Amino acid sequence: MKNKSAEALLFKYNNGTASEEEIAWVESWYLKFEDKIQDIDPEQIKADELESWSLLQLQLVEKTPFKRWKTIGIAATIILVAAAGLVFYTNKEVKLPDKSSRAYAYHNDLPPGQDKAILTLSSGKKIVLVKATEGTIAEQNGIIITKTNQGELRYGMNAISLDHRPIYNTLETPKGGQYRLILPDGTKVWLNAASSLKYPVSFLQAERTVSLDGEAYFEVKENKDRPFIVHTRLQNVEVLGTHFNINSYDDDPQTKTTLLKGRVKVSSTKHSASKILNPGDQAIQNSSQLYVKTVDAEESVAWKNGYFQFKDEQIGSIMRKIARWYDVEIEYKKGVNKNETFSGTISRFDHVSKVLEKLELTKAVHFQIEGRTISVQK
Amino acid sequence: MNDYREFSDVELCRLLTEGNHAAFNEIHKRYYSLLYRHAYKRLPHREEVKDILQELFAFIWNNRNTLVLSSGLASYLYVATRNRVINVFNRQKIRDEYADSLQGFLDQGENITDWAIRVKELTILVEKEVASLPPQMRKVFELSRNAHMTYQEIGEMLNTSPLTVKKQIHNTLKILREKLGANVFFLFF
Repeated sequence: MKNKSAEALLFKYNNGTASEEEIAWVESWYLKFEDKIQDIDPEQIKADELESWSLLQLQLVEKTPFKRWKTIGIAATIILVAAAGLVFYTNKEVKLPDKSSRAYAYHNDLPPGQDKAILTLSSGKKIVLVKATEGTIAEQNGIIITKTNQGELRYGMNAISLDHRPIYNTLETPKGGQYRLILPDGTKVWLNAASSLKYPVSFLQAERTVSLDGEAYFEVKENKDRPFIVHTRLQNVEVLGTHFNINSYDDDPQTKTTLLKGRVKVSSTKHSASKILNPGDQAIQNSSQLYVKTVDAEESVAWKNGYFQFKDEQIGSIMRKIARWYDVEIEYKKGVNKNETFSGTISRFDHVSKVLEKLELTKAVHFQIEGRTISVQK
Repeated sequence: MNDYREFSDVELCRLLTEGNHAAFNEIHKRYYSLLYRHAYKRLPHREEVKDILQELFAFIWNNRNTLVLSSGLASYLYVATRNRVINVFNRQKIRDEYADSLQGFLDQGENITDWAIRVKELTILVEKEVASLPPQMRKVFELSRNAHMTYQEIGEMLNTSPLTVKKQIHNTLKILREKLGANVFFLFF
């Protein structure tokens, strides 16, 4: 009977066939069970806790639905001018909205996005990067991936790899996330919310090639022998060494590349057109054509500097930016004039209500937050 | 932004059922290292312990709408961890040494027939670190954890304001986290 009965008891306990008394025996024994280990290395617990939360976060992130919106019409009716960089003004008299109703509309305020992303290694392993992620994240074929004190992801060479086959990693931000990355050639990339960048972990080919969905700002390390090429859905951008922003979201009708410094060549993926950009130029590709206009280039990179900056921008486009950054869905109530445009600048690091309140001061639109949905009203 | 560290377990559970990520994160932060220590000391196999806790937290999130925490979040987690640990004991490879210990207990020990007392003892076992807290702090902590009362209710019971209760919980958690050696991590959140 000796060990037999104990084994049988454990077995019955686990498959749920133990009687009340048997359960009491096992559970009482468990209470008296001596500690086998006196002390555990706190570093070990910390590391395992971090890893555990990373894995859990992946489950949370993966279930966030992406919603797409219809293209919005053109024409501007009301133009509002921004002043002082933080307030929206209108030519109408600004009246503060009724406090009590505001309190209700914003009873469910939402915090801004933050540094978070998912890194997918070539092996398919996913690593969730959050604020608390620190130090070495992964090591692959002689390449070390670390997170710097400044919170950016950095690729460094550990050993010279003679394997010339490119290994690709993907950095992906969810809605409400952004991340910074330094590629192995020293190129810096700022990835905006709901975006993804696929890149080789070492640039050993004649060309440095990456693919982008969503929005990113690049500061490309100059290398005359190795052009840097960004592929997007509607444009390919070829550069030698320069600073530029690409906005290429699936739910936006156009892809825009804005040049801040240097020179780039933008080609359409739709037809054979290509354009050379000078600083301050923006290449826009819509469903039918590629054209260039002169813009305030700073406006296109306001997001990376922590601002929303709108110039004559339609409500649909503004709300798409808010949706990506605050991880919300947008709903339009009847009677909203989608052609109205707004201008202004506001911090991205306030709660969503602050942003909406500024827009409401124009009296052209009103908002209500319900759960994770913002409804736009007349 | 709300400081979720100041929320009681009851409030966190309510937010959890609404699918609140931050509340789930706080539950994870609050209990992970505590459960880890408890499990690891009985089952010194790192991967097994990690798996047990991963499954447990994933289960809580996936079943947040149907989870019934009648005896409170803490008890639920302790019991669920214990059951999973015992479950691993039962696996062929490591069964023998544990079976010996159980056999020894069967031969000499006494069992506790009352289920509720066993859960209470389990709670004491897991929360050993709590025992060294100043008495008032411990009282507040235990009421919040184990009697699963809100700050308001605890305040009324102890004749202090909910705000004081909140502050004490906050301090308690801080001390606990330091004891558990996870403070560096928490600072970053």
